[in-house]
Amino acid sequence: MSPNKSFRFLIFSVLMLAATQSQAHIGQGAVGGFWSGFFHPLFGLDHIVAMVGVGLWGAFLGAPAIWLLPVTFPLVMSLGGMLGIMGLPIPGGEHTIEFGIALSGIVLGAAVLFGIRAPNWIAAIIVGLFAICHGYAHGAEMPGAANAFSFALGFVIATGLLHMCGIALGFLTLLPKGRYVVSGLGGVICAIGGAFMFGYL
Amino acid sequence: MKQLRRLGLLAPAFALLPVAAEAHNFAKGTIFPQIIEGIGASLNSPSGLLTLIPLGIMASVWQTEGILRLMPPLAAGLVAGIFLALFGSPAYVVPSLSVGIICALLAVIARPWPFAPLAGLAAVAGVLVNMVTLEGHGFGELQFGIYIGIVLGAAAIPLISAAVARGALQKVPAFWMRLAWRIIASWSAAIALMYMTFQLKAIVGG
Repeated sequence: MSPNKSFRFLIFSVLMLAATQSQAHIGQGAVGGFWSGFFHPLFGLDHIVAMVGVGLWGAFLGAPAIWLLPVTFPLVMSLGGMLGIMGLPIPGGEHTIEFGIALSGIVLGAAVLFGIRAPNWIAAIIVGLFAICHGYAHGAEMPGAANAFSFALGFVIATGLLHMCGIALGFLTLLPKGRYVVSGLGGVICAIGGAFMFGYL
Repeated sequence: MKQLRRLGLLAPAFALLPVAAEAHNFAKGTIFPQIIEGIGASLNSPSGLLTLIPLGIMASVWQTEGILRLMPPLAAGLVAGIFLALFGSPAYVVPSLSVGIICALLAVIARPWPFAPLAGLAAVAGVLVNMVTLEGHGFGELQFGIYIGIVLGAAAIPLISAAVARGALQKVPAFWMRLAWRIIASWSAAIALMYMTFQLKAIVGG
């Protein structure tokens, strides 16, 4: 063995000794804490588009929907989460939930795309129904939270911030060509919802 | 000179008298460490925070001086909670958080509510929060200073949240600031609901 190869072998051996167990997906640290709760709604495209869609539609409808919808969604979603965490059965089971989540993208996206001006109470009911589906799905897949308080705090804040993003994007309607941008975003949300519905995502 | 010599002889005796300084020894000394322990117990109780923070926000959204009007019934409830803590159990976290959720929803709806039901709510909140914080410890089981600290800590939570909300509402009297506090109240209700579910699942053994 040449001196160069011996040196490489020595380095390799030292590195082998230094290596620890791989821990790519065991979820240590984040599970059950604030960041686990915070990232939970952010790791699902279906949830992101729905929550941004709620904010967009709220901004599009104007006051009081601009705050009524983002207030309704986290509250009702927590109710849905309650059902999911407790494992309470719902009619149709998982299929109903998955259908509802996909439908939420389509309906909310279409509402923004076509500028549908629903009465506030109807908008709140629509958003509330979808919130139950999203909440149930989140609740069913939640970890046995080590720190329930931190988890819940992170989860609700992230959800609220997604709505805020939607509302902020919705303010683009105040710009001359902003209306088209917002309608385009509604179309994208609608398309993503459709892709989930037909199994492309 | 003779007196000085006597004092000189006494000096070593005086040097033997002092005991160890206890200024920073929390295990001994005054009632202060007990009060600090009590305050810490109140501030470290998530259910207490999720019950009392919305109460403070609701009070400031209700009336500018709302928290001052609600403080007497809250204080009475907190004191009553100490005596009733004997009958407490972990399950009391559910009604306690429910009161917090009701307070948050009242803040979200933001109507000119009459005083009496809000006073009742504040009193019930005080009772339940201390029944949860004391975890079944009957009156007299703990040192007196701890009880004082628990009441002070629990009373400080809504006072602080109300002061922050009131300060923001007075500094920025715009419509959107009022909306922002109502949205924060709704988020606190959502957090309380989710936390309550985790607790409920733990209680029923899920």
